[in-house]
Amino acid sequence: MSTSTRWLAGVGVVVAIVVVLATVLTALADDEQEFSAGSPEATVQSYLRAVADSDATTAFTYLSPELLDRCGDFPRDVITQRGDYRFRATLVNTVQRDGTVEIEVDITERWGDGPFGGGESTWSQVFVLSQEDGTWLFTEPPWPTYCPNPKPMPAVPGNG
Amino acid sequence: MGILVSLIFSLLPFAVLGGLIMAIVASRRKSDEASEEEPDAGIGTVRRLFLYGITFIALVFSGVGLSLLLGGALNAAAGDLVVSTSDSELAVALAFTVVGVPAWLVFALLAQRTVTREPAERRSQLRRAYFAAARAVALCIVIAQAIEVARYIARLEDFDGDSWGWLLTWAAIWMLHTRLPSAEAAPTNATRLVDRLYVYFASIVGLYVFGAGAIFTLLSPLAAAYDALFRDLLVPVSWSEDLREGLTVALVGLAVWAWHWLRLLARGDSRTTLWYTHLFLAGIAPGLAIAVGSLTVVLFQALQWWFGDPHAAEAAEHFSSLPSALAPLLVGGLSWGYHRAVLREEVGEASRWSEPERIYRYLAAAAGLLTLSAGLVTLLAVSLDALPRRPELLQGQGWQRDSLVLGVTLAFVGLPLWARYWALTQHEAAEGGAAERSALPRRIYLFASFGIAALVTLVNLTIILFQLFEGILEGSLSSEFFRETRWSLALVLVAGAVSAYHWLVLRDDQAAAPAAPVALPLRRREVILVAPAGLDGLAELTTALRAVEGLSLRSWERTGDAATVTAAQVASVRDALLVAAGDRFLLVAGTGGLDLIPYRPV
Repeated sequence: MSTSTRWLAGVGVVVAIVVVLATVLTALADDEQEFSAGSPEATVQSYLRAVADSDATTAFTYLSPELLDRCGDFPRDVITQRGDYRFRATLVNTVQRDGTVEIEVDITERWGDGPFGGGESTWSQVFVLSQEDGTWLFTEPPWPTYCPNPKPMPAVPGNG
Repeated sequence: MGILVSLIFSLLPFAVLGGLIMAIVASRRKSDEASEEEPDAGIGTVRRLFLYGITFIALVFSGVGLSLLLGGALNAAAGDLVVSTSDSELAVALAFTVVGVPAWLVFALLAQRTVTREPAERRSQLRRAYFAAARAVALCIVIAQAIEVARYIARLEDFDGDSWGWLLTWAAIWMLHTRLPSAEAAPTNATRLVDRLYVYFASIVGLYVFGAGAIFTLLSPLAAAYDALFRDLLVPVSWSEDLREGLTVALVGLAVWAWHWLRLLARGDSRTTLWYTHLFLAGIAPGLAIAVGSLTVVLFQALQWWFGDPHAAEAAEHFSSLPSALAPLLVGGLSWGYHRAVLREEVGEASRWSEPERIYRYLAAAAGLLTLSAGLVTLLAVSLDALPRRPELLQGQGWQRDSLVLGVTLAFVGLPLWARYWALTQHEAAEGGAAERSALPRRIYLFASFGIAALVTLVNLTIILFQLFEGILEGSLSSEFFRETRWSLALVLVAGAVSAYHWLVLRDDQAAAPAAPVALPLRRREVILVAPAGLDGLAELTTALRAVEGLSLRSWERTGDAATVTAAQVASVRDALLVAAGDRFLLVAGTGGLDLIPYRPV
């Protein structure tokens, strides 16, 4: 066997090893962590699963009444019309503040398909929740929704 | 995989250009040799440039004016014009015609007269370049307008006199500028080359228009057949219109390609550098790129359906883009197969590689290497992403599997492509020896592979080290480090291996190169010759001494009797000087012969 043939055989073996390694690791890692029911992380997880399933009705059940009152009707199409956008969410940090919890999540969004296009971007997103009647609900518009019609802040007496 | 196709298509123009430049240089060399035999300035380059430049501009003005006039007349004759708000189109047509036609006639006649008066003008490359440029521009306009006219004939659009006007006018210009130069033979290699360049240009344009039309033609029936077999359409779509659209483009392209390639070049110009360039870089390489690219899409879709996370729930929906991949796969494969068959027929398999073939093989190897590397980087990044990390809130079942499928697809496509062409080039390098190892395409391929891979390694190593040091200094280093730097880590591993391998190949090539003769250090010696003025053989002696490399000679006159120095004595003292130790000598000529005395300053 010539030197170049040995090199080519070596490259073939390396490729096979990398394919097997990636397959095994992927098969082992393809899971999500389950959070205890009633925790703020579980609320964020359930909400994001509803978004991933394009289920706006379920997703909006995690918004607090105060948020719904402040913002009016939330647009449904940002959840139901996501096209070929898919995302992954990784818990980074949970911070307790006065009566609220801030959950920092890394979101990696992927779009497009196949070898001829598509892309990926990652950013950090903070979800703000508070507990109402023993349930954790969003008090700020959670990604990917937004407040479509925020009510004006009440005027401060004495100004002007 | 997009990388593969975009790389090949981005490099192809450079490769074709390189091939053409090589051909022009080779031909210029020959033509220079020929013109040295017949030096004749003709009317001079500046006057010639002015004459043919003005003639070309006047030709374009004439063509535009006459096209507009003829198109307007045909539209008026067809009676479709209901109301016209402005006569500005007619004014533009008249202005271009009135200026362009007389100017073109005057300058074209002037050019013809100079050819009659100055025989050297027949050898002018500029004159031939004018004819070639006029034909090339006319051909492009004819192709575009012929497609429009064919669409009218195929009942895809209404009659438009403008298309007919442009088509007829520029077809006439094309014919005129084909007839005129064919009436006068091109007497030099350079003028023949200019003519051939136009024919190759037209052949390539025709081939690509034909290929694009063939893809569109195949696409509609394939998609219709797929829908009929596997899908339930709410509203049936007629595919005959799309088929006719594709056929109009394909037939126009086929006519142009057949006229130039089949009639003039395929057999008539075989085994020339331009012929090889056309065959490999305009026929075989794009055919291979299109076929391999399409095959990659098919492979990815199949693997994604069985192992990945397909978007569609139904197989019929998931594979609905299959016809869009099959049509280019067929056309690319046919182009590749046809041009390989022409090569086999005309040249055979046993011949030594031509320069365009060498460029093609290194280009294919580079595309394969890049695709394989992209696949390995993706697979390694996926592996690193699967290492222990922060808790996942949401991942989806197929998040990793789609990346895995993409990496496997790229590796499975890139590996055979790179292995086949790299093995061929290595085999040829082993057979061809130093000449093949020092060939420019090989040197460019090796240095580019080594250099780019080394650069990628260094840049990504810097990124990894920055994140590592930052994590250590801030005390935030965790297993997340591997996920955050997974792309850089994968790039360092793959690019590092690519760089190291090509460095070894470069070393092998250097070792196989013939050793340069070893240059000995120059030995400097000073000789003071003390000889009588009338010494016989003095001139021969000084000449022999001055011929010794590194020797500086000073002559002093010795008073006293004249003497004689024989040729044997001269040779003997020169040999003694070459081997003697020391660097300063006194050479004394006397009646007893020559005394060589070494000395040193005190």
